[in-house]
Amino acid sequence: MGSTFTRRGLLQASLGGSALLGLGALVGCSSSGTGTGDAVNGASNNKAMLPDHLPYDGITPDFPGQPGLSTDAYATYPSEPVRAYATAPGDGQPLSGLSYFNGSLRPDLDRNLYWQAMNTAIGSDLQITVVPAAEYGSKFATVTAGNTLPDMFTILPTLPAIPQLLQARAVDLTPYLAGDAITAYPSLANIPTASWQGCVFGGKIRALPIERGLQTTKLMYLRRDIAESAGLDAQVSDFADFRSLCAELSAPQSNRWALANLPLDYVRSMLAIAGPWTLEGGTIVSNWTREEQLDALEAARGLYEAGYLNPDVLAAPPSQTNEWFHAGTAALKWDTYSAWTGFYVYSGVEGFGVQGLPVPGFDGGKGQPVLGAPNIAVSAISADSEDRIETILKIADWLAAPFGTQEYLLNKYGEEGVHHELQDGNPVLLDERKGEYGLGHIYLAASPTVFYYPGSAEISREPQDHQRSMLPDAVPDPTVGLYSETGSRSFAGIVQDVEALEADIIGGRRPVSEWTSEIEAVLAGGLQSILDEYNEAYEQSQ
Amino acid sequence: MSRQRLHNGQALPAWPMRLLKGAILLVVCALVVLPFLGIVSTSIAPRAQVQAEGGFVLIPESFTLEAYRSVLAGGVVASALRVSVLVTVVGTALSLISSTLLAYGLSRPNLIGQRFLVVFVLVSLLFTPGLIPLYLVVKQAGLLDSIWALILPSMVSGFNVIVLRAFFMNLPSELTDAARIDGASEWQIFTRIVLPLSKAVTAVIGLFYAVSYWNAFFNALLFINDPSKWPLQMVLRMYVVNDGQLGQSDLAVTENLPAQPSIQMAILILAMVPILLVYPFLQRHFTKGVLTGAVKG
Amino acid sequence: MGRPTTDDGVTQSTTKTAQTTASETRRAEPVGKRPGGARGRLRWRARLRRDGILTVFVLPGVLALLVFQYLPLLGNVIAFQDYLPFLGIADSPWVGLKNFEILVNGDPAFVRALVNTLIITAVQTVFVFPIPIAFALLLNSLLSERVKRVVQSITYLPHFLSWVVVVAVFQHVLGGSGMINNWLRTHGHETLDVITNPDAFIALITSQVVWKDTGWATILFLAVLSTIDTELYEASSVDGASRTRQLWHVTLPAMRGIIVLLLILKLGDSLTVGFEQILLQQNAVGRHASEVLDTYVYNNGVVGGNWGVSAAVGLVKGVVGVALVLGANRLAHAFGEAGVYRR
Repeated sequence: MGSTFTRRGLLQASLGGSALLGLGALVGCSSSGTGTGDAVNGASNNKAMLPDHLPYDGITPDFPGQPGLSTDAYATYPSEPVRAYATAPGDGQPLSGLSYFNGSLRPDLDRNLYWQAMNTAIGSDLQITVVPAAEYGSKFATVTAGNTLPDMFTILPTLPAIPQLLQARAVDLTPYLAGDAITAYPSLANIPTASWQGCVFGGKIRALPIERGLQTTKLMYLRRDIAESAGLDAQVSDFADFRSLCAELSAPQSNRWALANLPLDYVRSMLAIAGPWTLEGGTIVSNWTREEQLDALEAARGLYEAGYLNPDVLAAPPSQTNEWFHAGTAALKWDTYSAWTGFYVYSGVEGFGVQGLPVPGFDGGKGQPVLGAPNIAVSAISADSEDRIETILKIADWLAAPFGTQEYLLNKYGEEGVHHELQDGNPVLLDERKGEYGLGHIYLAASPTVFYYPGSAEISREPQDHQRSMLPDAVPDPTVGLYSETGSRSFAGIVQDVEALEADIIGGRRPVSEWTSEIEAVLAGGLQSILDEYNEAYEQSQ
Repeated sequence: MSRQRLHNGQALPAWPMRLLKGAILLVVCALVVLPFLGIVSTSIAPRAQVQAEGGFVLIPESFTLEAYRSVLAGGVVASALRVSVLVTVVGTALSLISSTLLAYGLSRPNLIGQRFLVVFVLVSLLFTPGLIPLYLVVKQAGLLDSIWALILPSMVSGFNVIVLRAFFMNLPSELTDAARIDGASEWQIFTRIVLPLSKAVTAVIGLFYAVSYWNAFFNALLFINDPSKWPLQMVLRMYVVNDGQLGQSDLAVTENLPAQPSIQMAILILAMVPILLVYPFLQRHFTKGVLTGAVKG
Repeated sequence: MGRPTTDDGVTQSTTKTAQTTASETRRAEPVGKRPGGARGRLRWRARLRRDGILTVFVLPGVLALLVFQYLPLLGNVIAFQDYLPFLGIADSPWVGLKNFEILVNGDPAFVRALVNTLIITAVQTVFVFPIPIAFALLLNSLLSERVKRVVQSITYLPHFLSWVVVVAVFQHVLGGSGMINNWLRTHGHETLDVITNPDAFIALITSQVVWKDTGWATILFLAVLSTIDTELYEASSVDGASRTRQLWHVTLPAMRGIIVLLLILKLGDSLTVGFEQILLQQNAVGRHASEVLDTYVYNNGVVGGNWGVSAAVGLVKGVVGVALVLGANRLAHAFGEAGVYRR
């Protein structure tokens, strides 16, 4: 059993984003029920329960976004960052935590100037155990079973039975945060309501959001530099356009293929069947049972058959698909908004540029993208630490200080002259101390994300422009904020089964026609129960 | 030893046979060396080339140690290396002592409960304890955050004990019987006859233990909360990218890093080299015959 | 021949465990050749005096196994629970045999997984197991000690790579956009479909195992070869034996014991075939070709964090493993081999 869970981490590491589909359903749910089955009813989200949203007004974005439609973007870091906190939030006692981090392990406190500076600024020592994300499930399970949970801990959406877990082990934050109580924590109050919805379990606020807002929504990226040098017009207005763009970008005899990963969800957006669920006339239905699925699969399979996808697309891990995109052996990639500026950060290619394709209808008109989950994770405060709750919340609030504040600058870029220097008003990290940042605190409390690419106003703004064009047509996952007991235990497995089926069909190993009967089996094998539970929860919430 | 014999007394093969063997060995080595060349090259190739070639480089255009510098920065790897060496040396020593003693005991028919204990060891090999119960045992034993948590749970491997025992049982019994008649104690027989005659297998099992201590990271993950006590493999494990989890805001700190594949390969090499250095010292013991000399001596 | 120890602590602990071991032994042999009674007890005491030192020998190892293997095994009662770590064993609900249903639910995909597992085990026993033996023999027959060591030092390197890396390396070389196919394509040749070809899957994973572990597995066989008394070769050469005859009459008989032993141990692991390795490549060829027992259990239970199911399957696999090993051991005895332990 032990080794199986080790390997579970490995699967996450290698198959990556696959589980993210279930993320909205797992994290973004209010809750009921415990493992012993005595369900606490009232799964619905009580709107009065949620914290008020009080956007931070100390900083004006260079390119303001619109709530729910586009993300704030900044051309430069504000030249005179606001100091948001007059006094350190800590009480002198250490704050213990459990979280994950990927990258270089931070040096010990005595050699880590960033850590020292953070401790001083916070007024409490951050003592956070960090483990690699792939192994977080195993670590978390043992720590929970051994009753050694620290003050704060990250809840990854891949953990099983989250609602029951939080009910058993996390502080009920409702009295401290609901309604206008949140005004005591101005940075937490700055986090949009959509993210707080994902923190309500069993009618109580039991977690803090690690917000990613609209950044988790996916789009089809195009290597603009490659398209331009080939003289291609990237304005696709239906699927046929997209297919011919793929054809033009593919040149197998010189080892180039248009697509770095599967375009199935993009095609589904064109057919308005993206995501697992749709709200149809007041009822939640599964998108998998829609007839258009067959068209989407047929279309995606056609692209694969025609040789427009890298031949290893079914075999390669997501990190490898990134390498193809940077190498230019693939010019199209399906990825989240959060990848936009990241592509530029990582790329070492001269003239590198990306743009996002629009989402047209399959036969023209408009498609219908689906929004990603508003949080990548949530964090909770241990029930054993309730006596220090206000201090802990104050520290979390400090850690969530928004972009443009002095606190944010220290949090992300360290101290000026030591960790970064300012070039044209933008902080540039210094090489020598790059390994010091991995304290694990960024997944315990976080501010709302923004688009910001130091040194280029254009790159900071482009993804926002794309959001403006695409997101007005987008629909949210209707199950965010709803809870299904069956779903919290088995939906991740169902998603994997369906993805395996998709791969079989696109790869030509099974005919498209088998989709329908397989999905019927999936319905009978648990999906129908999940649907029923969601619909029940939905009715109660209305 | 005549010229028609190999060092170990086997007859000398005919030359076509030798040619064939040479060809086989050459191919086998090439199959291993070429991919390794790719791993080394990718770790030292410039970022632009690694990206241009899609993440795997066979022949680097130029040479940079950026990836190594990036991983070694901050001195964390160096201190983790010390932990790994300590765990491997102490662990291997304890494992060898306890396993050879156990295997020798099990090889003696007059051990009380011999048959039961052999099955006891064998069954331990076929059932894996769950990681949560193991965690609770280690916690109860007060070993959390201690180096012993990295050694004791994996100190005895049933497989290694059973293999050692099979070797001990294969030793010619004339030697031990004679010693027994001369009044030698079990301890004397074990240390003066059995162990010296079993240098080869002891070296091999020592290598097995050393490599498993060296490669282990999971016990450190579960039992060691203080990263300054982490062994090398655990520290390097932090770099394993969990695709899809790293968002843009997390990338702010990884700005200007060398290409991911270079870092991954540099990590591989850093993790391998120290343990590879041990090998030549052990190798002598299991490639040469030892028995004749001992029996005659 | 236990000598009295001067150190009190040692003496005490010795006596104490000697008693434990003795009582365990009695439990293990309830129908021993000599039933208990006054005479039996006397015999025990005499044996203890004579053979007690051996008990001291095995003590540290037995204790380590007892504490860190057997004690945590008690935790496998969660096989009968819907276990959730935050509830613990005390509060997790008991579900009877529900967790075992995954193994007997008659799902065609499960049957397929079992069949795949057994095929892969059979193929790997036939093709993978003998290769290190042959390679050890080849190395052992080399004239130059230096060549032998160099070759050996090179071939054992891949053992140090994780499966993630091995799979990635194979893909970079053999993949549809890998080095070989890229070369073939730019030179106008047909490409080879290896990585995403379900029919080639077993051959692929088998060759990966060979690549990764042959050199490593050779080490143990070289150790066996080094124990062969060189006088045997010299004597047989004097008798005019050819190399082939030496191989059959000297070398292989000397290796037979350990080969049989390793085969038996491998048999105990029949239901386990390269989980990580296969899981990493499942998408490439589809589940039909690649689903094995462990991946089936993973895909159908463990993904949702079902600790009970994985404990249940672990128990079943352990019991099957014990049965297979004990059965094979008997078979070995029937052929006059020592096996894992003599009767």
